[in-house]
This record gives sequence, structure tokens and C-alpha cells, in this order.
Amino acid sequence: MSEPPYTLSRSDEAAVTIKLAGRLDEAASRRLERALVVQWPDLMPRADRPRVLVDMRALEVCEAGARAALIRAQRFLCRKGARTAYVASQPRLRGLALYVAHMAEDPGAKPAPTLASAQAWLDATAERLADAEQRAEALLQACERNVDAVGAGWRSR
Amino acid sequence: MIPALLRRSFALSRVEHAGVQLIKVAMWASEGYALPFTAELIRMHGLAGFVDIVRTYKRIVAVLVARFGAPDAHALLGFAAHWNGCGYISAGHVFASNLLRFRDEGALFPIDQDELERLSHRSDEDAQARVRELLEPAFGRTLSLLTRQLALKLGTAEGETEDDPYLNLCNAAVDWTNEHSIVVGLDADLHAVSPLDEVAKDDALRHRYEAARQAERKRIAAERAAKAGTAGR
Repeated sequence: MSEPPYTLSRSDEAAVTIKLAGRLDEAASRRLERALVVQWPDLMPRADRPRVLVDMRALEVCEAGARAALIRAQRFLCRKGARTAYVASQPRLRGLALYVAHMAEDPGAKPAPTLASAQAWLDATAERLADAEQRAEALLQACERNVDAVGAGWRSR
Repeated sequence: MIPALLRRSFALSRVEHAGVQLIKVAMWASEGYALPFTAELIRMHGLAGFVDIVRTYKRIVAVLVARFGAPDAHALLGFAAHWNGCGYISAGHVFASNLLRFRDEGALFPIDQDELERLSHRSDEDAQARVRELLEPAFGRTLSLLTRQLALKLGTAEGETEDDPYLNLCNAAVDWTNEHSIVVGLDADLHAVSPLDEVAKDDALRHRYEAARQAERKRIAAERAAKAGTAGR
């Protein structure tokens, strides 16, 4: 029997795992959204900073029609103050996760290529867009200084 | 880069709408392409923020070109976006890389839009193996950079190299860019994406490149047919 398209479980007092597998269509994603909302009080009764791991590693196809429900589910998690990491080992699925996080306007959600990087995100406090911007800015300044130094070295010869 | 983001309303104002259209026309004229996610950038950052972002991205590209040369710089930008699942930025930079390499070296890079599409549906491990298969040995330096870039992204890189700050810059810059471009990048038709470089304006080069690419695709298809025919005997 093939895996159900989603499973929802509590990993510990402050963590939920949503596992997506096989083919996720619009109907299944709506069921997932409803299940998340209905079960949330029992899954996370007291957590003030819940962590949600969305495991996409067994997901093969996510139909375009499924996106709207995923976005609504992500907005729900954002309202609950949850931090979300989507772990996916396929670029296209990481793109989907980024799309969902962006459209849900949830700065606490992020795609990750490995379980370790997903866990690191869940443990961190940075906001996704601000974090990317700050990293890029810092690295740009450092690299530009290095390029200038190399150029000065050449010019002085 | 830009100040802290302000939450803006989803709808653009009339001035911003007009700004989007003007900016697109101006970009076509100066760069040879316009960004289909211009409206999203302006929605999130305003018109002044958009200008700042474009300037900053140009600085980043300039740093990477100075370090790696234009063809490899664009290949790295393209693959940074590929690993994030943004087809638009990925195809745009890989197309630019391919055109520049064709212009400067007379070489056809083995990874075109078709191959990018196929790679996007593979796991990272399988995609990496396929990239290695395609690029060895003729494009060894590019392969080495792409391999290191991915290792840095995955957190599996060992030791340090002098290229690491630049590769990390590439990854971080594209992470940030894809925050905006993913609205069009997830479903982009890779063949409809313009090269993301001024080389997009060189129509004569693009015609020569397309002719060479078509000839190469026919050659590969004929090779595969011949192998299939031999295998069937």
C-alpha cells in the first residue's frame, strides 16, 4: 500500500512533523490544512515557540492546485508563532517550499536541503529574508575589500 | 544594502504601477531584458528600494566576474538559483553563461535549458552526479567551482579555499534574490527566459549560438538513436 500523501505527528512538546509523500493533490492538501487547524490545540497545547518540520523527502509530485491550501496552512502556522523548516532533497520542491513561505508572508519558514540544516533553522531566531540580506551584504563588503586589495596590489607592481 | 523592510500593502499604487512599466522599458533598453518580478520587488521595497537592489546585484555580479570570469560567474549564479528551485534566475544566468562562453571561447556548455529542467526533478545527489558526467573533463574548473558551491550550501564542505567567500556570496545573494523571483521562478518556462546579462542585446551572437545549439541537439539525438538501434540488435 502506498504512503498516504501526508501524516501529522508530534515529535516532542514543542515540535510537529508533517510528512508529505507520493502525490499531493488539491484535495489532500485541503485535508492537511483542516487537520492541522483542528489538531493544533492537541498537538501544541502549551508551546510558545512551536517548531514544525515539513518533511518533503518522500514527496514526488505536488500539484499546482495544492499550493493554495499549503499557503493557508503556512499562514496559520505563522499566526501561531511557529517556526517552520521544509526539508527537501529536490530543487523543485525547495522552490515550492520557498514559494509557499513567500506567499504566506511567513519570515519564520524556510526550505532546507538537509535535515541538519532544517534543524539548524528551527533552532535559530533569524527571519528568512532579513537573514539572507544581511549575509549577502556582509559577504559583498568583504569580497569587495578583497578585490580592491588585490587590485591595489597589482597596481603597485 | 537596503534598510529594514517595511510591510507594504499588496496592491501597488498608481505611481508604482507606472514605475513598473517605465522600469521594464528602461531595463529592456539598457540591459536587453526586464525582470518579470519587478512588481514584486517594488511591492516589497518601493521604487527607491528597487533601484538600490538592482545596483547592489550589479556590484555582486561585478565581484564574481572579477574573481571567476564572466562565464563561470554566471554559471555559479545560475546554479545557486537552480539548487533553490528558481527556474527563472537559474535559466537566465546559465543562458548568459552559455552565450558568454560561446562568444569568448567558442565552446558550447553541455548544460542548457533542457538539461536544467531535467536536473530540477532529480535529487541533489543525482543532479550532482549528472553535472559531473556532463562537465568532466572539458569543463573541469567550472565543475570544481560548482561542486564546491553546492558543498558550501549543503554544509558538507571540508576545509577552506580562497574561493569560499565568493561562492558563499553567490549563494547568499541568490538566496536573497530568489525570495522575490520565486513568484515567477517556480513555474518559469526556461526557454522563454532572457539571458540575465547585457549580452542579451547581441542578436547576432544569439542567432549563432542557437544555430550551434540546435546542431548539437541534433547530433546528440542522432547519437542516442544510433546507440538505441545498436542495443536493440
